[in-house]
Amino acid sequence: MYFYKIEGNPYLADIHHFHKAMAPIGYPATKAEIIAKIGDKKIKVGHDEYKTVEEMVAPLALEEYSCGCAFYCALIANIYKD
Amino acid sequence: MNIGNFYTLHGKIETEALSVVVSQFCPKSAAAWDEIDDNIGQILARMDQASAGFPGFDLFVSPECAFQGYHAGKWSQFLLDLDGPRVQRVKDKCKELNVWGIFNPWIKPKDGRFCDNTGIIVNPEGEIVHKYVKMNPWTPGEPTQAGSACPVLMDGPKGAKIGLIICADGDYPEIWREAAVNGANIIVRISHYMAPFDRAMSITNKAGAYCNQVYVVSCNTAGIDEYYNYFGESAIYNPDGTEIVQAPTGIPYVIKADLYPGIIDAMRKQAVHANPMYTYKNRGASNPDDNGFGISEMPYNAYKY
Repeated sequence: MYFYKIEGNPYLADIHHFHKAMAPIGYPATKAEIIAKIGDKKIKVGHDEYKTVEEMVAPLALEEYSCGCAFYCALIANIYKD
Repeated sequence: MNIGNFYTLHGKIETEALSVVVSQFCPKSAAAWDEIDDNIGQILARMDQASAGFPGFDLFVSPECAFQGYHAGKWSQFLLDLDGPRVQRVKDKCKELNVWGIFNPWIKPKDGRFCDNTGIIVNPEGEIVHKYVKMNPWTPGEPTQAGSACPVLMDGPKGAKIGLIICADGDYPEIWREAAVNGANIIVRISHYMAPFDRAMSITNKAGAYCNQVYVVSCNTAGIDEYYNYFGESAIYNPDGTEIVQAPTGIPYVIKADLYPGIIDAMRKQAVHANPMYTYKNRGASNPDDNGFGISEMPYNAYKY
């Protein structure tokens, strides 16, 4: 995830691809709903690296998100936990 | 319209257009009942003008003090009754034109208190469906009773959820936030504001819109009475604080804009950045130490007095 952790030769479009994949999600939403709906979508997160939405969302500490901001705050908090 | 957000706003947004007419003019500083009747006649004439100029409009907004003006020595002798015949005239006009209206009669409370500076919203059936007593009177020059709550009309026209504030209210940032927290997607500020506060009114309106992600509709008196120059400059603002339209300085004028209240509701749900209604009570929410929830305790001494 370049945007929040720039290392070496970062791939710049990871969050862009992820946000595109999130297009069908309306809020409030739960982690389970997001995974059920788009969990198998593959996101290009590096020059030669892919993750599924489920892989990216499953570790989030929170289960429910009242709005888009709540979800992405949880996502970014989790990125920095790595 | 969605300036201030890095991330695309996803999702299909369904919203009706709310056609708002803002009419700025100057009432007489009434020192007799017939002068109040003249002022009411002016309000009704402005509503008729709006119907001619903007066929099909939904909401008419008139300035603070449009019924009574503000006569320095005698204003308190000419207070109105919400159930009385003078207020009934604007209720009847809303019914005739099939529109919503926002008005400001200064009321003699039935419980014997001195005066309530009262904003009302009238529906197209001619019923008062919203009442707000100014929470921040323009002290010391306005010795009215301070109101105790800022409710929001949640079932307004075309998806509008209207918070109504009055003049000096808007100089206090907390009332904008209060209206937004209570659900407003549009905050209407009616005023009888005079020079030299022209720049201040514009600044506070823009800040109120941006900081709380609401449309702001500002309707100010325009003209000169025995005391002051009322600068007008009524305006309508986007939720990013940018101006949609502004009336000129000091002259009677009518502005109109079509607003989309459903967009505000969608922004509050879908926006990633620039979502102050979430982040103000989830401070630092992306910090991993707080599990992506942030800190939600009220930290501000300013609000614990």
